[in-house]
Amino acid sequence: MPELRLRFPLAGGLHARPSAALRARALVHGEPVTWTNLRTGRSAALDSVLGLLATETVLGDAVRLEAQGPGAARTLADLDAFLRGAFLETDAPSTAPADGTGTSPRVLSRAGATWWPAVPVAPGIGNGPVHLLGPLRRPPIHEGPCVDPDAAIHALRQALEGLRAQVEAAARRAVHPAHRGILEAHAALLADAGWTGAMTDGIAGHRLGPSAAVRRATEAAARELAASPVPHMAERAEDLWDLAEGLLALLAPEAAPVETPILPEGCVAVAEHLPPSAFLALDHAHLQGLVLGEGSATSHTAILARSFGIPCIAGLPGARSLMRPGQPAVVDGTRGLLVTDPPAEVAAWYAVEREADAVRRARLAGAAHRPARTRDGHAVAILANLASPLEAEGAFRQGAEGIGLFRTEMLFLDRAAPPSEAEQADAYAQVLRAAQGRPVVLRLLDAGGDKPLPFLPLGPEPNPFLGRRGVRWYPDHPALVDTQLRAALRATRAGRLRLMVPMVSRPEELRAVRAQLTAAAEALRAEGCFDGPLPPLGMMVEVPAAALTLRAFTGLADFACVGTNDLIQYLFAADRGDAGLLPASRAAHPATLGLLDRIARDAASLGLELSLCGEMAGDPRWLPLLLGLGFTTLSAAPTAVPALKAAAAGLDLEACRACAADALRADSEAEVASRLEALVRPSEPPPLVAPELVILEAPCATKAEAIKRLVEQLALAGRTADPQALEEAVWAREDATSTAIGFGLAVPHAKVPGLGSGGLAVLRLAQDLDWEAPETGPVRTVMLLATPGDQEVHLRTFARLARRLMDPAFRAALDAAPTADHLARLLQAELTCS
Amino acid sequence: MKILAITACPTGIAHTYMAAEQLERTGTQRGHAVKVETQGAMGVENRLSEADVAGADALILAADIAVEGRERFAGISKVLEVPVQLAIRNPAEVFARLEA
Repeated sequence: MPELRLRFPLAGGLHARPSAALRARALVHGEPVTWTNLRTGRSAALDSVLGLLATETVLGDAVRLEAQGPGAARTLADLDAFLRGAFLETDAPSTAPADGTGTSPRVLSRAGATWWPAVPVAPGIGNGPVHLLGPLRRPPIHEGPCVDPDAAIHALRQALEGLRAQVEAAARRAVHPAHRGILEAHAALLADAGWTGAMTDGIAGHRLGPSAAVRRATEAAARELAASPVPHMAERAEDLWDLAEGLLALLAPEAAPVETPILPEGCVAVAEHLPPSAFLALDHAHLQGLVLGEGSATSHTAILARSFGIPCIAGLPGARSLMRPGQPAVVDGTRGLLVTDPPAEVAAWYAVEREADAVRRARLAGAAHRPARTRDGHAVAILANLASPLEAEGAFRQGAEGIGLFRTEMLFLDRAAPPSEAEQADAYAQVLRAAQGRPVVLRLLDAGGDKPLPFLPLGPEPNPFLGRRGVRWYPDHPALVDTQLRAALRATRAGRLRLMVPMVSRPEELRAVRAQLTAAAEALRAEGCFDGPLPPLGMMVEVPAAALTLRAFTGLADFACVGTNDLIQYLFAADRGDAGLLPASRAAHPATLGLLDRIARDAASLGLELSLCGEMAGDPRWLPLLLGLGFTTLSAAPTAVPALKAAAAGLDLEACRACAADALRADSEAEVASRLEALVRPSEPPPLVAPELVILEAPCATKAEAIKRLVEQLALAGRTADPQALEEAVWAREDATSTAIGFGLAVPHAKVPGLGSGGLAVLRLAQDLDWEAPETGPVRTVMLLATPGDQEVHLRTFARLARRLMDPAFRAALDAAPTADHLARLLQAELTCS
Repeated sequence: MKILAITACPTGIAHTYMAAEQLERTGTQRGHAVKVETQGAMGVENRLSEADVAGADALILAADIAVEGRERFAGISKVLEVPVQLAIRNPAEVFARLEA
């Protein structure tokens, strides 16, 4: 038999990445090839990653490869070339920095930081040591002996294929070669004949159900790996469990994990999968930030992370393999990126942003507890959306004036059987008590489509979003609906409850629910568990047909709530979860505004109480349009409530109405955007120089930190709506030539069209700062000039400032000014006389 | 000497004017008659005329970008090109070179 002998060349041993690469290469040929480690005596087929790992091959080991079949010699020759060439690169360390994309902060590339792009889920910056959340073992599911092994093997194969496709897709998207390598190794593991063979063996040979078979096969393989002397093998055992968890999630979604991890204080937790129940069980006081391997910004865990204000990113599959326990990390939930081992410059930069974020939050918190009012005195009701009773306290702390949308699905997820009447009544009552008399609108179960429930088999559907969603399946599962209605009625004693029906398209649907509600109420009355009038029953307006025929619902709906998420989705026939599809914001599209206008007018003429929920409600940019169209009751994520109240206080309802009327005549989103911009532009531009733009005696170790402080100062003073763009423009100017001019001064500046009002921010330091321009010496005062560029008065003022800085007497006066006020006045005096 | 100068920096907001200020002050201190045209974000200011060019002994181009209307100065033989930074930080050096 032809053979090839070699000494193993990789310092890291034959671990997952090189094994996967070797397997991929061997697959090209198709001949079976055997790898034998002559030191340990262990052999493996080249198509089994686990087998290769088990040979425990380390640097310097004598290895023999043998191939069979007609092409054996050629195969071995090719593998020989591969092992001397490309194979050597599979051991690359996993800290290759990513290429900067347009939106990543400049400081990352300047400092040579290692960072990973991810999906932003919950804004904010978290900084702390990494805490890896291991796979949360699901409790064994009572499967009993397998009665249909073929079906079980089929289910297993589907799960394997499904998970492998996900991992491969993630590998293709991965930016770092090292990250991609890890994911490719995972995909290879999922195809490993040894491991998957043990699974099918468990089903066929031992009559185990698919979940039990996965568990058994994984335990055996993980045991072997964990005992290996080869470095990093023990970590592969964890990977194997993560993959097994992924399979179990597909095979048996209803079994929820039982472990509650204990978090060290101030940590950045990293998990591959984190179901909502597990997230809720974590001690949030100890959580600086959260990294989710799988998942998107719209998953339930994501919603919860936002609701609790925990900086969170997702979409980094294999995240746990990229990090070490205790490793310093920064989670940037605002931009969607993760920085590991941040250099001091990067940590300081992010610290500036955290401080500024804290100031912004504190400002908003002040307004939280007053009822929202427009500047011209009109009341606006800002309510909150909830997914779980646990969010209620937080929502009211943020100043929510009620709950406009209590999504009840969360109570039904991650479980084998639906919650009982008592359990539901308890949960609903909990929210009502937290509300202390404020109204709570409970949306009846909205399942199907993107929210499948295991005990609610709705059958495979070609278009789940166009299928049995919301109220449509109620007639087929009356007991489920009845239980929820009874639970809600029981809870009415705890507060002001209203009920709402999802996905209504025809009056009959609402009539049927009302009849069921009435019957349930009668039954409970007889049992003595309910008294008083029926709670109001309203409808979600999210199906365009219903939106255009509100009149038909007169007398049937006590109120209506527009669900913009689905309404807009149906209006544009585009999946809102797919960011690449119709990327422009559809909220401000004339079609959306036209439909909302129609709904508002119809509701008004029918005397139908109207509100609006959905993402559009939570974005302060659209507030003038919504108020102007007549939607003065809005429900949004709890964390959005303070910003909405603050935004309302800055608007005149009359002006909003005019703006909305104008926007309805627009032909494109761009036109709508310019109408909005005209509305919020202040009529009197603020002065370029102001004491609030002066920072004295701030600590500042680097140029990047200084620029960041000045940019944030301008942002906090409302002088720019896009600090990121401003900062990038400042750096672009620095790239051309350094703005240090000697005399201890630096004058970074930028001209950014559409910036906002701009201004002159001044930072005077207690110590010399290295501006990285050796010829000009260290810097003590930094003056950042930011202008939209279309205002001559700015340019004249800056030109004058530039000239005055050449006068030693003026520079001395700047240095000597004792307070921000003095400095601002000095600048104003110098710069405004001609 | 009668010295003309053009200052021009990339964004045209600050350094253009700082260089102009420095050249005017230092040049005057050293006994020269200095006239500076700035090419900045507000456009060309203090534009140098044909008469200015006819009477000029030397030209300083303190620019980090291409200077507009350079053909006007074809007739001036003594031309010194320097980076804007030098004009700001060490204008004395600029004039020393011209006087040499």
